Amino acid sequence: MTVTRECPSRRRGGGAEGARPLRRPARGGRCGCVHELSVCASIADIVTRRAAGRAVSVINVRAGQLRQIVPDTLVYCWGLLCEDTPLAGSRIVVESVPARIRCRSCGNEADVGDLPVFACAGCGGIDVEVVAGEEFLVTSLELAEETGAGTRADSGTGAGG
Amino acid sequence: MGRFHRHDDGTAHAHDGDGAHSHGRPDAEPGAAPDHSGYQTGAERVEVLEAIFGENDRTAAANRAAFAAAGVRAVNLMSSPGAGKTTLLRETLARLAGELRIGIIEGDIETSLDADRLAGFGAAIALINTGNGFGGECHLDAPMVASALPRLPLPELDLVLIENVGNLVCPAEFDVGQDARAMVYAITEGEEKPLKYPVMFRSCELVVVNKMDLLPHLGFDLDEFLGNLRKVNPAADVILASARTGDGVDAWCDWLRARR
Repeated sequence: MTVTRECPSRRRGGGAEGARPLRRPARGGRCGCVHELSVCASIADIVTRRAAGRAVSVINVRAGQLRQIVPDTLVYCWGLLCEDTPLAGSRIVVESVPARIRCRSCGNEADVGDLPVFACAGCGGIDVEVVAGEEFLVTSLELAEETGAGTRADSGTGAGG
Repeated sequence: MGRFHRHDDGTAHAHDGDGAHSHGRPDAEPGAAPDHSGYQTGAERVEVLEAIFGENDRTAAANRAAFAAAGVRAVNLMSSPGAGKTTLLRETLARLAGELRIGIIEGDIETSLDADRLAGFGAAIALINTGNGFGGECHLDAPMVASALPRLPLPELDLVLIENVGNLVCPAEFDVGQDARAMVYAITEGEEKPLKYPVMFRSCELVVVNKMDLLPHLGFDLDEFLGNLRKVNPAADVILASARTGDGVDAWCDWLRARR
């Protein structure tokens, strides 16, 4: 894989890192990308454990609107993190969930929308609970066919990135 | 929130009654997914349903238990860079050091500059340089705070103030085991910040509106800011303050005393 964008995490000398099971986020200066790298490291731990050595092609992630995850950035950082690791070549698919609140006073339920107003649109009440939009989980893995197209989570050689 | 949501402190937001959190964190046990390997050659799906921050949350729970066991209240103090967290903490120590036994966990990307500014008040200070921590340097997470706990004499303390890394995004996502979250916001940041960073502003029980001494020099509309704050966090306490002049710092100290 050719890295076409500079990411803060890649400032660490780019020598042979093939022995690293997973590339951890390193020093940087720009927050957003580092945040997603940190998240990707947590996802990689889950994927490696659950795949139990099987090759993985797709990681399905569900992310609520309130989790401050930028799907494109997550996908990009996943590529960086997995490069030269057993998970190289796998990709993340993000399912976004809109934020939704329910009013405890009148029971009205509605999406929060793009403008983050956490008050009831029905009665104006402020005693609301968030019923959706805070999810953040790995929902499933799609395993690769055993043809070498995917990647093996327990392989020490990686898939060439 | 059960995970990293705002309500994991259990105090500020009205989630007490329902108990049920439909945030999709079944967090099934590792290995619970059926193993179909070896039977098929086509692509197959493995159900996971595992919270991505589960490991952090478990450590945060352990931190919270450690604070509770020592009778310590912990406050996670967050802000953008330069909003005045460290200046406020200095003024706080100057006022409370003789009254409360205070520990500071200081998150700093690289230096000990902030910790140095807080020395000399008799508080126990544990510095975390997040540049070396897992997860990067833009926030404190629960394992980082856990690593600082052995360097604080917890049983001898009443209050631990956790100065997070200056950042309005990531710190809101990571439960570190605090009892309460507070935020320092400076009026130099503009009125619209609550709408741009609703997760951060929603996560806090208290917003200290700092640098109020600059109000005559800025085109800042305080009412508009407070209106925006109310849209995303109607329940937040607000203290108008200037850490530099000392205005409002006593009210902040009262708020801290009430945490005990």
